[in-house]
Amino acid sequence: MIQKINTPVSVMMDFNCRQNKVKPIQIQWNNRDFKVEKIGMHYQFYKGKKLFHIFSVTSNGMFFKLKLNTDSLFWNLEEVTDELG
Amino acid sequence: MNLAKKMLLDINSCFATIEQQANPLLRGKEVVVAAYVGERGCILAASKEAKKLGIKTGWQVGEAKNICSNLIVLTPDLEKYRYINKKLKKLLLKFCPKVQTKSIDEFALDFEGIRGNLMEIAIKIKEEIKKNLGEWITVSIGIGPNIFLAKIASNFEKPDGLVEINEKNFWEIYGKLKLTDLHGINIKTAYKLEINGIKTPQDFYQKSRQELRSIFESICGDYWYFRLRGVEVDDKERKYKKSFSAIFSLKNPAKNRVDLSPVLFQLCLKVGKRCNRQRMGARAVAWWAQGENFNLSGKLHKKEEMINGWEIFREIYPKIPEFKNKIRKIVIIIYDLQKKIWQKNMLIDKEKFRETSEVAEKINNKYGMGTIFPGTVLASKKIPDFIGFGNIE
Repeated sequence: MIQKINTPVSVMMDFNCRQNKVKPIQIQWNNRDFKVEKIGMHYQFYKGKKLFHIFSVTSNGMFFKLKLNTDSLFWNLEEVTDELG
Repeated sequence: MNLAKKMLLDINSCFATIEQQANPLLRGKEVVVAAYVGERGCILAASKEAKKLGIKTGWQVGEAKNICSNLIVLTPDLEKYRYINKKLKKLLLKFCPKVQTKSIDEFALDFEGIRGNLMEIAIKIKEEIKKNLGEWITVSIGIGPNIFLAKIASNFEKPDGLVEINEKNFWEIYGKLKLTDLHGINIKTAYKLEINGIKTPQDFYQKSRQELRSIFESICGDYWYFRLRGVEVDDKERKYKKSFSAIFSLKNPAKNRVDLSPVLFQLCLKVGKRCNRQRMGARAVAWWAQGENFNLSGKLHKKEEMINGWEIFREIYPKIPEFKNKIRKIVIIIYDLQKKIWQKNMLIDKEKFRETSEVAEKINNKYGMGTIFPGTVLASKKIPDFIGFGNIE
């Protein structure tokens, strides 16, 4: 089921200058830790002057759409998908 | 026939494939992206899996669900599609300096004067797309002596196709096509051609230039004569457009003028912005709204051009009468475009409005659409965003 969540969430990031890669590695949501297994897509967009980064990731058979507000540097969990029929 | 130097690239099932790329749980499943999730929502893109069941773009969600009860219906995520469009264009520019965005999912590349085997370049482009955009995103590439034949080639093999039309195989390919497979020939034109003894693209090719001119009763006949022979007649980028239009289908039908105002405002901004890009103002605007068992339409001519979407909205909103039926679709067209003249207006009120609206537009561009909007829109909730399907440049 695909659920729109829109709630603040804690995200652990890996800033790797050697590989020139920045990626989320763990999400903490609902008192549970989810290790990021795969990044489906990463894109960014401006809303007015604010830049947002979106990471679409999977973990443990679930999908998370994470939004980083580069103005406040806080994360938001936008969408969660669990088992689909 | 000229050498095949044009390439047309088309993302397969664009919106649905991008959604499957972003969310791996959707891969291999029947997914559609629709204007809205309700039964009457129009399907904008269907995944390869949904297409295999016969689900097509343009259907209503309810129709598709009758075929596939497990259908996953998503609403469009416009920022995601815009990002992919920009990223793909950037990638294509590495291969060819002349890249033209035909629509949100289609690009035309002109390799005239560039050395290299286009088939090999196309294979490299496909590899780069897989590496940079995502492994699930596939494209169909058509190569031909002109954009028209490249388009036919790109449609010939889907998904993930790569076809070249050249002087060696064009006759064979024409033999496999119907008249309506030719881009620009609809059922009505095909009927007109059939009456004149043209039943297949091969018949069409064999007609002389004079015969085609008399069938089409215009220069269009000449264009078709050249198009079918691989001569470029469609690649002229028009510097200035003569009109702009925008259309919106409402998820919840508008029951009155207030409900309609945010959509109308958004449409006005959209056409106003496009017009502004070519530094022009519009002297005429027409609108058409489709309701349940009734239509509403009107047009307005002004002596002085309307310089932005705010002004267009201000002029036409009072002209829309009160209505009791529900409106589902609205179209705005601006035409009679003139060079924008920054002449001070004698009427102080109008001048004040112009200055204010220009500033408001700048603020909305900086802080996001809907930061500032007219008071008339205040009563309704949200100003919608939407994406164009035609030429988006």
